[in-house]
Amino acid sequence: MASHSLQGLLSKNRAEELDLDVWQHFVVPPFFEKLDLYTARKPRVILGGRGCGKTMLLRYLSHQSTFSRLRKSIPLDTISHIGLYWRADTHFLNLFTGRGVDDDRWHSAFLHSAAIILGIEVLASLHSVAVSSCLAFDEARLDILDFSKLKAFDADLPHKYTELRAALEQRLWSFQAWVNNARKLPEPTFLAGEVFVAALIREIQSQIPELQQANYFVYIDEYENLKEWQQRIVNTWLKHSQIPLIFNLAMKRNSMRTQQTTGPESLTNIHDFRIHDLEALLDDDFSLFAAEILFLNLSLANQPTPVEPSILRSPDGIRARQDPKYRDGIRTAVRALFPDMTHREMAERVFSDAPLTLKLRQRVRQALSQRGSQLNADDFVLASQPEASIVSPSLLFRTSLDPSYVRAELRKLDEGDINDFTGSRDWIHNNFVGSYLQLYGPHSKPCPLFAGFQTFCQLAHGNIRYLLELCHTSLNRMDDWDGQQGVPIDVQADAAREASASFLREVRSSGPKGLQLHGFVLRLGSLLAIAHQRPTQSEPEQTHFSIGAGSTSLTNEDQDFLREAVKWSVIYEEPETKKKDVGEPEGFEYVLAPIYAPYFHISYRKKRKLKLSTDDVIVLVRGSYEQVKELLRRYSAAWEVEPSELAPTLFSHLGDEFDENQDAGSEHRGRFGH
Amino acid sequence: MKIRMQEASTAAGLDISRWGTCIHGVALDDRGNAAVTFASANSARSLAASYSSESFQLTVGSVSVDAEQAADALNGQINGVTLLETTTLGFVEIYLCVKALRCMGAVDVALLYVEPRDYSGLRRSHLLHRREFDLSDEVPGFRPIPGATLVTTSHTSQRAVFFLGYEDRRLESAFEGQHVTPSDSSVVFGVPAFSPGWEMNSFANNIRVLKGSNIGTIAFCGAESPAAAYDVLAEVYDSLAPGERLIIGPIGTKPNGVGVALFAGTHPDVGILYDHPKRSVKRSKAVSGWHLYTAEL
Repeated sequence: MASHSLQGLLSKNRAEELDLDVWQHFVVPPFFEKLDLYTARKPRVILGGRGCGKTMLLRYLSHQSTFSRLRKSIPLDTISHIGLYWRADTHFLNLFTGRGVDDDRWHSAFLHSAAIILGIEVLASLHSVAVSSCLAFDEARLDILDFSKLKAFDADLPHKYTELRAALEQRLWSFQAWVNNARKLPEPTFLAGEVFVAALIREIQSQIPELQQANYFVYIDEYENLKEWQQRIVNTWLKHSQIPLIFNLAMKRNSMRTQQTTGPESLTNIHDFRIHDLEALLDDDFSLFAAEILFLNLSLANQPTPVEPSILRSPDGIRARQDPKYRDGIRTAVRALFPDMTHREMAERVFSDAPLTLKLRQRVRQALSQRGSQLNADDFVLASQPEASIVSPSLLFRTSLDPSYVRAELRKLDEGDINDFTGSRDWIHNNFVGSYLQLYGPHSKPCPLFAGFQTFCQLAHGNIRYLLELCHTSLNRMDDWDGQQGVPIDVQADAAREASASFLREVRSSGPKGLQLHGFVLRLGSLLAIAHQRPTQSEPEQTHFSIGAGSTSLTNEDQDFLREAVKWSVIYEEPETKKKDVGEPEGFEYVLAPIYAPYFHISYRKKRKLKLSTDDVIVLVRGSYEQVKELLRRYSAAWEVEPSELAPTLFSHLGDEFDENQDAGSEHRGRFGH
Repeated sequence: MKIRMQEASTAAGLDISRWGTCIHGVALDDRGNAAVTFASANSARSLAASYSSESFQLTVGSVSVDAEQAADALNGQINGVTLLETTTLGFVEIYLCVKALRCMGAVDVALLYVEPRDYSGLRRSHLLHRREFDLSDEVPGFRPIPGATLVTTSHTSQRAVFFLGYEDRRLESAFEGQHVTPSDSSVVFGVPAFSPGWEMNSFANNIRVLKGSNIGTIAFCGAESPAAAYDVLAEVYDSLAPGERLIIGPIGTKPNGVGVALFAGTHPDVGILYDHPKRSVKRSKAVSGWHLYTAEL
């Protein structure tokens, strides 16, 4: 089997890795019709985190994909929507400042760059249509186009199609030279931005009647990287968008630094544009959509799959994909590839693994000893009740429960009577995941909780790139995979841990605050990892936090930092729920991105909240190392977590001072908690 | 370009003649102090240089100019053969000075580089260390350099060459935020490294990014050799397809960066992607090998 080509395909999980024509790789998302892109006359703002598929969507909408040469037939009416993709070249655009050139000239230079780049794109779109299977017009029609009227913008512009395109490309090079050496080279004749582009489109429509009803949709990617004054210019284009030239944006959350335009009016949501949050739109359909993408990739690697690629690539196929039978088929197939385990199966696994059974028994003994109970540990480790046995140690550690009461309830369960394990107190349901994670221990073998396609989807949290990487890392570990067999649980869980560690390191490249964000995730993840090690599991699965009162308020910079963390999807911001005090003001809670859960060996589910003071949050965001150490020590003591319970892979640094202080000649060797 | 290279275990082992002017940066560690002391003692005049990636200003001595006017900053301040003290100068200062010297008709340039005996906190491990929890300064990120910034669009074609060091984050940031795709990129490891085994740090740290990136090609050149770096670039440059441009990412060793500066300083059509890292105080310990390079411009 062509496993190499398969791995190659799966590893290309960024749109930038593909050509501009992404048609064969694209799966039309189920929410596509909601975007109303083909008939809309109002700009669209596409929001979403890193890896959620913004660029892929924009490229699919662009002429290179719409009129892909790989499409065997393209309906005539396809030319009513012509997409022009423009990924803002921030490296180049950041050069547009100072150096003896006044701001007005740089403003004009920005318009000029837009005119050239979009002008070339408009002309390229004509070629895309002409050479495609769309029968609207052919290449010969391009040769007879006359662009003489554009000389009004620059008298030296040629009037023929091919020469005009070459002239714009030549202007791009000479413009590049001027921007690089603006003091010494003569200023070029600046073209008038969107006005030039609109004029070019009018000329084309006046000479190609088939395009008279066509609308041109500019898709500007990575808007967040533009300087604020450049965003104001783009905002102006948005505000004044009208057919046949509509501007649309794609960006991460919290990225629109200004809603101002270059005029007196600001942009207003709904009135001037519509926002579509891709992750919110996917929501419940994510797992099915992700499975379809995975299967399309497998299909491109010539593997048998339950999907028909042509249906996935076409908006017309969405209805067929809503069929429950089809959806069940996809779900069954993907579950066969990445199987998971029920909690019962996971618990049974412990009983077939001697070291884990021993560890479970030891934890029960430890709890009984701590409680001063003489009961027999074997009474709480029952192969006939594996799930209840897993949660027993946590219950026994709780001073509010008498060990003999727990034993009595376990006996009732075993005898089929009403009991607290499955009854109204639902001990198993509430404590299983936390207890299981604790049992597997952070230094132990891969935990089955992190296996299964549904689990992968929850870890990915709407991020297609994360999902594909989890699948890719799993398949990569299968030496002789035949394209059909399911990936074993341990292999998946181990792959999840590897991918999680890899994505954690990636945080450091998340913009200018990347290193600080990385430190923040490490600090927060460590705190949550300690929370998960609480012997009582009294608050199991704490994976998110809210911010309560403290002695110091968060500064604007702290708030900006949290926004930056949301922008780069290392945490998710959600309206606060389950407030214990109804009098508290409305706030937000922040969920650590679940993709980091396998690394920190914590739950990926949003279950219980940790209420942090502003002081604690400040330490996590910008505290010194000593303050972080003190915070972790304080919570560890409050939660009665022994340092020996913590993962050496996570917390070895707390005993690192000796190494770090060697430079300074210190012989001090600090130990966490001592 | 002819690049002569000398190496000695101490400064006394270098075969030198006095230089007219030495241009140096700020010394932040033992080797920096040793290098600036040596360079100044053997030059008729010493000038400190610095570059601001925010304002694009180059300052040499007391003269500040925009980057594209680097020659104006050197004009009237230098005399005879110039020594660039590259241990303390940043990459951009070296590049702008090389470009300016060539523009001014200099025949050759000397470049000094002193190795550290060890880097502080340079460990390779799967365990977390305190330094990962310590807060780091903001990384300025990839900021353009006037005179070395190419425009990229859907219709331009470019090949990138990255010289790699210890920090995988730098390569990853380039792929994340810049218009270069891994498949159109080559990465160059500094092998042999300054000390046996150091190359493993670079491999281990970068392997994660390379594994997930479909990198075009992987190459190797001596970590302490500007000439080898220059040759790698010349080879790629000569193999560019018509219309294809070369973008260089000097995010590896300083000597490799010197090779990049010499190449880019004499090839105005190439672009540079550089992330302007802030050098930390006491980043390295003690002094090891001394290198003197002389390049004909």
